[in-house]
Amino acid sequence: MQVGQKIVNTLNSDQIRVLYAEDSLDDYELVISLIKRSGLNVLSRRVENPLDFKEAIKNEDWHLVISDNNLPQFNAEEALKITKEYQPYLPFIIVSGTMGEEKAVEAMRMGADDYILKDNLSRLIPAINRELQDYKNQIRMERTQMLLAMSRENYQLLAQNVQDLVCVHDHEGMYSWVSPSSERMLGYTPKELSSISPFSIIHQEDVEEAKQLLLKMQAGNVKTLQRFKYRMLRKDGIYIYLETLAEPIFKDGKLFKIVSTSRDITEQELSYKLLEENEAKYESVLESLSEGIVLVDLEERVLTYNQSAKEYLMLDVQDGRKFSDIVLENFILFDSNKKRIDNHNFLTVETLKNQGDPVYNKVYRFRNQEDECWFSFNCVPYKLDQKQLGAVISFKNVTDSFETKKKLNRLAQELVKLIETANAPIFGISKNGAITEWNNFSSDITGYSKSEVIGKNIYSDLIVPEDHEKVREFISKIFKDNISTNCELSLVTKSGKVITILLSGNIQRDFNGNISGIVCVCQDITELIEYREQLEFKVEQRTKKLKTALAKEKELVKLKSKFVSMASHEFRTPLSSIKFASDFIKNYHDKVSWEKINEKLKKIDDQVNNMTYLLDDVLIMGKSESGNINVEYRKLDVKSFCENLIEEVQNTFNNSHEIVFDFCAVSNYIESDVKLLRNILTNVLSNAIKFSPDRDRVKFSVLVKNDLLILTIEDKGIGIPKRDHTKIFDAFHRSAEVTAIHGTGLGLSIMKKAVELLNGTIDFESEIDKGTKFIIKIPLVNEEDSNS
Amino acid sequence: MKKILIVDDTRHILEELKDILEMENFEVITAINGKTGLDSIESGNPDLIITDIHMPGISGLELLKKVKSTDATKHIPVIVLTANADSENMKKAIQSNADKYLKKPCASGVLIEAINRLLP
Repeated sequence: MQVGQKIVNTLNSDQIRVLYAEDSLDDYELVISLIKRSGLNVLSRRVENPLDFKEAIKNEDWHLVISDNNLPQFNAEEALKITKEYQPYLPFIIVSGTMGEEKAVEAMRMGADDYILKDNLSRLIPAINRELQDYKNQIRMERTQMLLAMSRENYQLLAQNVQDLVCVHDHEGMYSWVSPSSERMLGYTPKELSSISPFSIIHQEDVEEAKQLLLKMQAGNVKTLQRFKYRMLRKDGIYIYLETLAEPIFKDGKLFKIVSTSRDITEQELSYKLLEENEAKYESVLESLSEGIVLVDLEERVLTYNQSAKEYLMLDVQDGRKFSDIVLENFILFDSNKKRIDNHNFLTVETLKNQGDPVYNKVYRFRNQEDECWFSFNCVPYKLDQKQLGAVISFKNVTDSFETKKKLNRLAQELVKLIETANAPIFGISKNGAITEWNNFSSDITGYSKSEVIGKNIYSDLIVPEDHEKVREFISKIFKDNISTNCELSLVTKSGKVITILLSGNIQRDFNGNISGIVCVCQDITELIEYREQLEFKVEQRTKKLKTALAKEKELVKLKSKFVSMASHEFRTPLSSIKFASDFIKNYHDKVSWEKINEKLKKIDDQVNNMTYLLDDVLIMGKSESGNINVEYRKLDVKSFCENLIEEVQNTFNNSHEIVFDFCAVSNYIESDVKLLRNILTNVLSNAIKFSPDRDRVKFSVLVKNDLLILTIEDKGIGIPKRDHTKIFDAFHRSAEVTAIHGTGLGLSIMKKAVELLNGTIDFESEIDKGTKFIIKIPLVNEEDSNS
Repeated sequence: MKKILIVDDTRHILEELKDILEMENFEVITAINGKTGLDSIESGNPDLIITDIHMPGISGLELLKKVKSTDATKHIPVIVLTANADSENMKKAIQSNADKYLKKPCASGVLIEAINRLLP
């Protein structure tokens, strides 16, 4: 196109540029001068090889090519070929010396414009003029055609490349031309659409409108560009939304054509529908919410609200007032700390001020003339693309739950108070043994205050180390088996005292029902334990006593039966003597002297006396064994009592021994039982005399000292063998060595009983053939004691 | 004249029995306990022994056993005369080959009859 433009421009100037293929310089100059002489302004160049010719044709503008028929390096045929290749319309004239008819026809057939012989050059100038004119026309036509082609190309390009659907309809509305975008948009190719009526693929709900529009256009009522929306069925069966601009074109006053462009607005339309649907949904959700919802802008002006909000707060907003103003106009507000709320500390203000930190569960107390209620508020800012636009306020009446909560709180407080003041130690421990609760009583019994123990580990100081394992088991059992259980353990108080408590552990749960710890209710059983121990001790002692008593009783029964058996034996012996003596008198009274008979009678008498003593002793033993002897304290002059007794005993033994009496006391008078004292002294003094047959004196001393009456009786007699030391006080026990000495075998037993009745003790020292010393200690009682 | 040994820890019994048995023309020796009793058997060689059971030291039963288990003396009749009247003692005495068992108090006639029966 550029080349063509240039040629047209150069053609319009007068200069003619001629390329001449000629080997003969003479011929060249002859022809060129001929052309110049005809008046044409010629600029020419001679080339004589194909390479130069090609270069020239290719790169330069020419108006005319003249070629010799035969050149040494190429020929006219070749030159023509090259010329047609690069400039098909460039005039080509062959100027030759000789040329056959055949060759000439061939050249013309190939596209040469003329054939002129050198010897007939007169034809040359007219031929050049004719060809140049033709060439000019040719170029112009080509240019026009080119322009036309260009315009068509552009239009096609446009129509084919627009996203929109471009259609030309005839006056009946039928498609007469459709842009290729139809295939993409509707699924139909333009060709397919040419046989389809638009009305057959417009949605039935929209088709009437389209038909009406066409009618109006046909009637000439609508003459301008029309815009309308409708749905159209795609080839694949899906309806799409189209927005169409249609312009009627009239010819001779009648509708000639309609040009329309259509755009697919399905997505926009659907999202709009979705939006509408969502809006409707949200609205119904909002309206059905029991919570009040209010939307405010950045200025806190109410934008919208739901029915609940209206009912709760008596909202009726038309004037775009601020939310807090509306609320505060109707109510007096307090926060949960009873602080009065005004426009400056209302939550929406705070939220908006804080640049979008949401506020949740803010509870306000609302009061108006009629009643009082509690509202819980949430205020969440709403943003679009990080930019805050306002806030959503939601609120609900929580009066009921608040009242319940208050009641619960009160209950909890009462419980806490109860625990605090309970008359039993109550404390809480966590799983690892940390103390979580500690009531007053716990402080009282342990000496540790609440602040001292809270958070501390119960194992640390409080529980005695040997009980740690027990307590661990106790805690783990509660956590593991979820049961309450008891545990007895010892605590160390602050003052170091050990107390015993009975722990009753109960599971403590948090609001979610998870076990959070153990509440221990305790009982200080220290006293109980002590009491129990005392009781056990007492029972043990009693049992011991009982056992002893039982053993004693058994022993007694045994002793009694032994005593009876022994007593009968002791009676049989004197009886036997009496029997033999009386038999002797009876059988031999005529054979023996009176003296012998008297002797026997005296022996009988002695044995009877002996038996009487024995009987007395046995009776005393029986009495003392059964506890039937009463101690009768009486004031007595112990010195003279002893002196009388000594004389009595000495007389009994025919004054065989002297009793050496030693008396040492502050006062002669003591309080004692005369009978028992007599029994003791008679026995011990008689024994001393009896068991020292080869001696003639017995020592007897009485010492009253430190409220003790100490009686010491000492003889230098036969002594008591070691083996008998433990048995001398047994009833009827008589040492093997004393067979010759008269005695009932009950003397020492009776004496010991008597001493015991006076709460005294008997000790003795004795050695064979050296003698025996009895020390009897009797505690003296005061007059007052004796009276009582 | 037959010789009778009386062993008893009660002097009165010894005296009474001695008087009675002498009146019955027996030679009487006495011992106040088991030990002197055994000595007297050896030294006195009695024809008959009367012994008590309950005595300090060597008891009558021991004495009896000794007499009856000694070849030289086992022929000597032994009369047990005891105040200890329970059957256990009697049984023991019989088992130990006592020739007669008499209970105190005992009529002198019964004793004399027993002695006469036991002596050849």
